[in-house]
Amino acid sequence: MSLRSLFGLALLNGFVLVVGVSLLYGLRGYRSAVELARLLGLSYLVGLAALGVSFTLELVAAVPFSLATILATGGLLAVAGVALGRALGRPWSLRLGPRPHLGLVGAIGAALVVVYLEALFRAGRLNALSAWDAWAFWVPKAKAIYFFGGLDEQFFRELPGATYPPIVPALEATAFHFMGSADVVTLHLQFWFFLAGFVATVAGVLAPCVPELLLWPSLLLVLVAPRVVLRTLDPQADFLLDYFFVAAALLVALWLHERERWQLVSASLFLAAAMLTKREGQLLAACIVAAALLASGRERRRAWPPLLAGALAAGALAVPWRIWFTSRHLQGEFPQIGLLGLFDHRERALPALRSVLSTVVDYDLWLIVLPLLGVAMALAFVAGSRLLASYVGLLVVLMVAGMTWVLWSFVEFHLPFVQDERVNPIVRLTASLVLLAAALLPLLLQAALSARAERLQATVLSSFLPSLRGWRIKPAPPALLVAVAALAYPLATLAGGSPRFPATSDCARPATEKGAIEAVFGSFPSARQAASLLERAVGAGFRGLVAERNACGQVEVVLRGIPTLAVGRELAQEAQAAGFHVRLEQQG
Amino acid sequence: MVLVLGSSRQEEGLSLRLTVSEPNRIQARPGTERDRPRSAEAWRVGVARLGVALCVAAAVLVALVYFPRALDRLDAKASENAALNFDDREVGGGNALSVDKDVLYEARALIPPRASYRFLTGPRLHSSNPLTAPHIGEFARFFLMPRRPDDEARWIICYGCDLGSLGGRFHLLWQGQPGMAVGRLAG
Repeated sequence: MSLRSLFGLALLNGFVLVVGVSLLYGLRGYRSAVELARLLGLSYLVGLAALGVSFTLELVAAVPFSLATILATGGLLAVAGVALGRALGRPWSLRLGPRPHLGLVGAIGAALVVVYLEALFRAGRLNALSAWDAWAFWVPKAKAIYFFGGLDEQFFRELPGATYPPIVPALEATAFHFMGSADVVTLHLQFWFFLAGFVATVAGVLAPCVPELLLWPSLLLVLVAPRVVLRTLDPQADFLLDYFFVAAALLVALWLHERERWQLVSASLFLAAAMLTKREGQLLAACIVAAALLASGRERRRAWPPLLAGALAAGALAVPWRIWFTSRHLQGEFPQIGLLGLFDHRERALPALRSVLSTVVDYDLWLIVLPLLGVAMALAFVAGSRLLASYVGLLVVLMVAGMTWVLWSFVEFHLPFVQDERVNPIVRLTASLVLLAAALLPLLLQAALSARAERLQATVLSSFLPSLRGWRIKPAPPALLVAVAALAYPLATLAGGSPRFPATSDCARPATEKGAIEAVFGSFPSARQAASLLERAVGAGFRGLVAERNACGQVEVVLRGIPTLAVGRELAQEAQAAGFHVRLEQQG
Repeated sequence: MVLVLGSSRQEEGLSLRLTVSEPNRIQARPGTERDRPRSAEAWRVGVARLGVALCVAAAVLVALVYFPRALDRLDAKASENAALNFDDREVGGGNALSVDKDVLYEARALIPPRASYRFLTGPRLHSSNPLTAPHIGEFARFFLMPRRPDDEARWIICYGCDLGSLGGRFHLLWQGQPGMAVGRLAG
């Protein structure tokens, strides 16, 4: 809750970014400063995935998890990235390069997204840790790693979700190290950084290949979906899994068309990270690989070997965690009924499918994101972009099938299924489809438009705002619009008062001339400590004192009902003479 | 045919190659047998463009309607969070279980961070909240970390338990509401 925690998080995410920039340099290099800036989001996510996977391997290998380990791991990854980049002759240029084309549509979209992220930051800063799974096991696992320096046998065995992989707890423990304490309130903001990194990834990767008019509305639509607004900052694995999954799916989609090796290598890293974030990650990774294999069937000789190699590499990185939990006989990875037991529960199949389908099109959760994705797939197919449309189509169908399987086979979710996420995991799972739309909807629409995208953008724009086309050739005003929006929101909120950093001292309200006041003889974490002061004060002749816990969790020894400040001051002098230090406070 | 789309991406060697038909060369002159495939092509392209325009319009419309709502929700959440008492924020999810904060704060203050404790519930746990009894132990485990729960520990947190069942070796250090206590077994 402190400023120190905030600085710690900023430092941590800067560190992740540096690691990611180095690794992406090793994978592909940067031709200009503009390109480096455009790919900062992707770099961040690459750094996050690489650190997460490395931390998992270190934890499994019982390497003590400390700040030194974190820094050494990041340092080694960064050095490896730079060394790889040098060895492979990757381009590294910090000259400005081609100027980015930020039009008015892009500026408005970017401005709205920036304001949204600022509002989300503000909402998350003092968030109490209320999400059930977060306090029940994700954060306790993180605390176990933080306090005990590893995968503590007791906590990782006894906590729910024993087979859930440890990337999120490891990253949360890293955040605790950088914050200097297990600050579970400020921890929410680490998940803000994850979301910001994801948004920057999608925008940065797609910016050169889809027009602004296709990119920003899709992205914004996903961000303002009610469940995204409410849940992205919960310190649990669902959304981070989706970020890794979507990044992998997007890079595989691009690889299917462009065949750049770095895209597949990065996608493999994201697949590994997804598998080590949550067990559903294995299902989602399998969907991506299967969809890519099927969609590229016509070019199987050329496409399948690298795809399979990437999938195998990702799978190999997930194996050590599996060895760790299976060697300890931890259960819960697969349905209790087994894989074939599914057919003994055929009555669950249709309700499961119905539950999945009704959830993905639930307007109150996801607005119109998934119906739009469906339409965009059809349009891309009609326009002749068969490869992309079939890849996305297969991916969606496989994901729906996978989610249906989850609900069908985990018989602990009782029939009839209700759309309540406390008893139905599908609501969480469908977020992966929705976030997928943020990245693939613009790509599909672009494919449907083919070369006419620019014309459509101009046509639609000019029909609404005929005078704005000229803005596209002047990059300064749109960029200025983003800067103004980025400053306006924080300034407007700061006008209402400077940010508060809650502390146990918040419960001390200085006494004023108005209203009754109280004299606080001392405050303590324990009633036992308070009792000894109370005894001493009563022994010194002070009557009417009580020891009570205040709203800051402290036990106060206090005398209430002092009518005026003058009387209070007299009492304070008297107490001081008797050896007590008394604070006069407003009575609450 | 393969079209290369997106000029800036092309400049950076990241051309997005999307396999499409040849819509651009179509000139719709319906009527002749020879032109029929071209008409179909033009129709497909027209449908695709119209569809994209409608998708974009729908996305823009819904996003712009829901953007202020999202900001309102986030502002309300920020205000709600700022208005929380320190202990309500610290206890967080425990509020949904109607936890007795006193006993948890006392346990945290009295039990050393590296010690183990036994968390006991029992017949004196009375809560109108059906979630309290089944989950209070889980919440205590989260709240009290790095202290470890251990069935053999000498530190005792009594959350509605029967203190009498602990015998004479129990040294009471704090007692709150009936059945709420923290103490230590001698030995």
